[in-house]
Amino acid sequence: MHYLLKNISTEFIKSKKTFAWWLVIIGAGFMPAFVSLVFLSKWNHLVPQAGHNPWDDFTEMSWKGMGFLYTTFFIVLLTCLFLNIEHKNNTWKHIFTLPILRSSIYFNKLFTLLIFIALFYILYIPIWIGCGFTVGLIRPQLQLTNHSPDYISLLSLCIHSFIASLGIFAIHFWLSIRFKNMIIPIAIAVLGGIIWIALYQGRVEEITYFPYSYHYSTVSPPSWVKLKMFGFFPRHEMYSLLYFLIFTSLSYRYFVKTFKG
Amino acid sequence: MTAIETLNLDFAFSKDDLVIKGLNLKVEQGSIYGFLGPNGSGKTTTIRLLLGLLPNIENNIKLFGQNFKENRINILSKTGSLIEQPSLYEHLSGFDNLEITRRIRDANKNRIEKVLELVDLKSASQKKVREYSLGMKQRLGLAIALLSEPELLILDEPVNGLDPNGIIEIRELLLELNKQNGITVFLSSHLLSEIEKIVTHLGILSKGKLVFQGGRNDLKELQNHSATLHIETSDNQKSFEIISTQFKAPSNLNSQIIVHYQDKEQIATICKLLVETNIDIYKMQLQNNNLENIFLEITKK
Repeated sequence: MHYLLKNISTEFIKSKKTFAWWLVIIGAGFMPAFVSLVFLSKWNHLVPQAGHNPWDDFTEMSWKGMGFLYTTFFIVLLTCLFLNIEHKNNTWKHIFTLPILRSSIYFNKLFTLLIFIALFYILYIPIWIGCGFTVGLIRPQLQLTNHSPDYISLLSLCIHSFIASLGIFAIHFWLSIRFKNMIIPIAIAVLGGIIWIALYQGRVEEITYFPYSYHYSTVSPPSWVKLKMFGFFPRHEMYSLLYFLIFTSLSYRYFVKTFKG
Repeated sequence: MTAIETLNLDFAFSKDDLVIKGLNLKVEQGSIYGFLGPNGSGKTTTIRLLLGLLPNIENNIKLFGQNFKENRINILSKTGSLIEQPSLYEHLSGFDNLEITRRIRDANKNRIEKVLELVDLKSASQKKVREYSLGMKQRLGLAIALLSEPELLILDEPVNGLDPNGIIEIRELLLELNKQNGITVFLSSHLLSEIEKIVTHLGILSKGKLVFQGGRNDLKELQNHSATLHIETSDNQKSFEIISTQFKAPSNLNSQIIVHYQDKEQIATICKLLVETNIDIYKMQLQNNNLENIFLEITKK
C-alpha cells in the first residue's frame, strides 16, 4: 500500500503545472457558476410557488447540464491530457527502464485518473452548494436560502454519475494510451456525442448500450426505455461497469504486452 | 565478472530485416566500454534490447550474470540509463524530475542534492526544464541515471549535441565515476575521438554485426598494425621499386610512397637502402592511424 501511494504521488508530481488541475477546478466550478448566472438573469421566471423547493430546479438544471456531454468531455479531455504528459515528453522509455512492473505503472495511471475524477465530484459539491446559497442571497425572491438542498440526493447523483462515467473513462484511457495524438480520442468522443444525440432524438431503445449516453441517462432516464434496476444501479450503469471491465482489461493487456512508448 | 553479456543476439523489426546479427557483447565490470558504430548500425537498438525496451524472445541477454527476462526489476534497480535525448518532464523543475525517479527507485532523499552537485546543476534545480540548455538537459539526464548509485551506467550518445566544454565535463565525470565509485560505464557514441579518450574497452558495430571487440591494448595493437610510413624522395619511382624488394605491399601515391609500418628497424633499413642508391630523402613520416581511421576501415569492410 505504501509503495502504491508512493508511486501514485509521482503521478501527482507529474501533473503539477499542467492544465489537468485547472480542468478539474474549472470543470467542477463551471456548471454551478453557469446555472447561477441563468438563475440570476432569469430569476423572475424561476420564483418558486408555495411549497416548492427551489433547490429542485437548481439541481435539475445543473445536473442536466452536467449530463449533456459536459462530464463526458471533461473525462475525455482529462484522460487525454494526463496520458499526454508522457507522450509529449517522450518519457515512457525512461519509465520502462525503472525498476517497476509495467502493471504497476498501468495501475498508477488508472488510479490517479480515477482520483482526479472523484476530486471533480468532491469539488463540485461545495461549489454547487456555495453557488446556490450565493444566488439565494443576491435574489432572496428565489428563496434558496429559506430551503436546503437534498444532500442525500446530491450525494447519490454524484455516485451514480461517477459510475456512469466509468465506461467512457475506460474507453478513452485505452484510446489515450493507444494514440499519441490527442485529436483521435477527442474526435471519437465528438462522434460518440453526435451518435448519442441522434439516438436520443430518434428515441432508439438501444441507447442503453451506448456508453456516451450514460451520463444523461443517469440524470434523466429516457422515457421510452424500460427502467430496469440491478439493486442500487439502473441497467445502463451496470453496462458502464461492464464497459469499464472490458476496456480496462484491453488496455491493461495492450500496455503490459505490446505498448512500446 | 561480466556486467553485460549477450550470446548470439539477433533482432529484427520485421521478418526479413535483421538489425542485430549474432551479437556477442562482453562488458567486464568496472570497465568503460565504448560502443561504436556509424548511424543506423544498431547501437540504439542494442541498448534498447539491453534495457528491455525491445523484446528479447531468445532470452540471451545477461546483466550482472542474470537473465534479463527473469530478473528485470533486480537488474534495473542496479542500472542507470540515458537513451538518446534524455526523457524529461519539461514543464517541471529539475528537482521535480529527480524527485519522481527518486520515489520510484526508493533512493535516499539526500541523493538529489548529491547528484545535482555532481552534475553542477544545483543552482538551476528549481528552474523549469524547458528553460534548460541542451547541455543542462543532458546533465540532468545523467543525474537521474546516477540517482540510485547504480553499478552499471548505460548511456546512449551522452555527449550528443554538447559543446566542447560540455563534452569535456561529461567525459571527466564518467572517468571520475568509474575510478572513484567503480561504476561500469557502457556508452555508445559516434564521436570517435571522445570514446578513444576515455574507454578501457571498445566494441565496434557495423550493420548490426560486432566487427571488433577488445581492450585498450588490443586497440593499441590494431592502431600500430594500421600505422603507415609516408616517404617522399628525389626519385619516388625508383624508391618504390627498391622498397618493394624488401617490404610487402607498398603503394606509390602521387608524390609519396606509403608503406605499412612494422617497427623502428624497418625505418632504418629503408633509409639505408635509399641512401645507398643515392636517393635523397625529403620526408619520412610515421602516421599512427587514429581510432577514427580504424573505425572507418573496419566499418567499410
